[in-house]
Amino acid sequence: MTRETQQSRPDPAHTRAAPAAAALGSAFQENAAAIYRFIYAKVGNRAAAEDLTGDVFLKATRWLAEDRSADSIRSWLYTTARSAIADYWHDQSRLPSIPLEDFDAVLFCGTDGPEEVRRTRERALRILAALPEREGEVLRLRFLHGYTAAEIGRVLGLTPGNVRILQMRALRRAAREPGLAGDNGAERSDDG
Amino acid sequence: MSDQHTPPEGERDVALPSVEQVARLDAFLDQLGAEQRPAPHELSADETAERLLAAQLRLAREGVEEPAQEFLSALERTVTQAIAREQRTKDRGLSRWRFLRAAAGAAAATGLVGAGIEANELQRQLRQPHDLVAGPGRWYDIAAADELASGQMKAFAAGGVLGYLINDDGRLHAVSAICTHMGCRLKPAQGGPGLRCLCHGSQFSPDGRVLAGLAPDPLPRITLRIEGGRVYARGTAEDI
Repeated sequence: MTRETQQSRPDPAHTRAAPAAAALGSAFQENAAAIYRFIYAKVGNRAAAEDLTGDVFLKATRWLAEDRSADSIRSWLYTTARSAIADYWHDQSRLPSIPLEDFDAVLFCGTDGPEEVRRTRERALRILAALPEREGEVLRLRFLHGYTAAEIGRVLGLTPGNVRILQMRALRRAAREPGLAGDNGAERSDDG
Repeated sequence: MSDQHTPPEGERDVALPSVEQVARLDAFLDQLGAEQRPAPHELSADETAERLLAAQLRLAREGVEEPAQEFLSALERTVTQAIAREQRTKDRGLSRWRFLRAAAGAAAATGLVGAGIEANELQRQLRQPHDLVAGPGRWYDIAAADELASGQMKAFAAGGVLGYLINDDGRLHAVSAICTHMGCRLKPAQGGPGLRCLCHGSQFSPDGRVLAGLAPDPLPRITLRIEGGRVYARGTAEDI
């Protein structure tokens, strides 16, 4: 922005900063909650979701200081959120050599950011419904009711050790067999 | 993928995960349930895939992904502040403080409601740290007056008030040890004079001003009295 100095005006700095602040205000209000949900859907805990959402928006401040259209802001935010999620998982699993793209099919349901939370929820419910009876029961108590292994054991009459093995077997099965979730070409393409 | 940790495909290894793997996954699930960030581990490809999926299965519970209102408000303040700073660095005509005073003065003088975020933000930046008043409190002996060298600090408890006594270039002051963002306990900053929050990374100067992060307010100051070579801090009448 090139502007001549305007020392005679009473309040030049205030008027100068206002448009960017207003643009940011609306970009923030339109997107912050949605970006948080998007990230939450992929990291599954509030602490990490808050940290990563904060990172994305602080990165955005420099970029948002220029004039941008609402559409380009939104797509920039989702792209940045995606890479923050990938970095998070890379750090979680300390994967030095395995490219995270290998896990793309497990991590994302599609490429359309705003649709991702709904799709993730639908896929989660399909998986919980499609697992073998015992395994499905264990994971439903875990994820729908928030029970620990010991609590699940009490409900189902199993030892906590049994529950731990069942939940690992169930998750491993679900992660290996994308067919279990009813994923197909139509679901992963973003036409509709 | 030639990862030696990766078991071969098939039912056999699905049935036989190691004891450590089973326990680690259980701990991971407990951490998710508590909304905590799980500790990183060296994981095999299978373990990574399990966790990726488990994190997303949390969505089975309706509403679990709703952000906390306080988080959004704090983030909005930080972002607004950061972009205002960004704008100001482009502005060579006015110093930061002249700009802030002029703008906040103008907003206050006209009772500008329309200035919205902008005016609130400016007022927030101008806000000074306030003193922590401990009601019917009492004085606690927390240190010798010459105990701290310049740049050193010391954690103390004055009843229910947790604080840091700081020698800031020869001046002693005390600030609250609780982050104004989410209430985490602050730690001395590494390699610097101030304080930092382990939860979300906010940083504070030795006199309690916010230097970075999501903290919306400066740290309250704790009243000190120096008498007979001892430093006393004003805290609550009762201990925690």
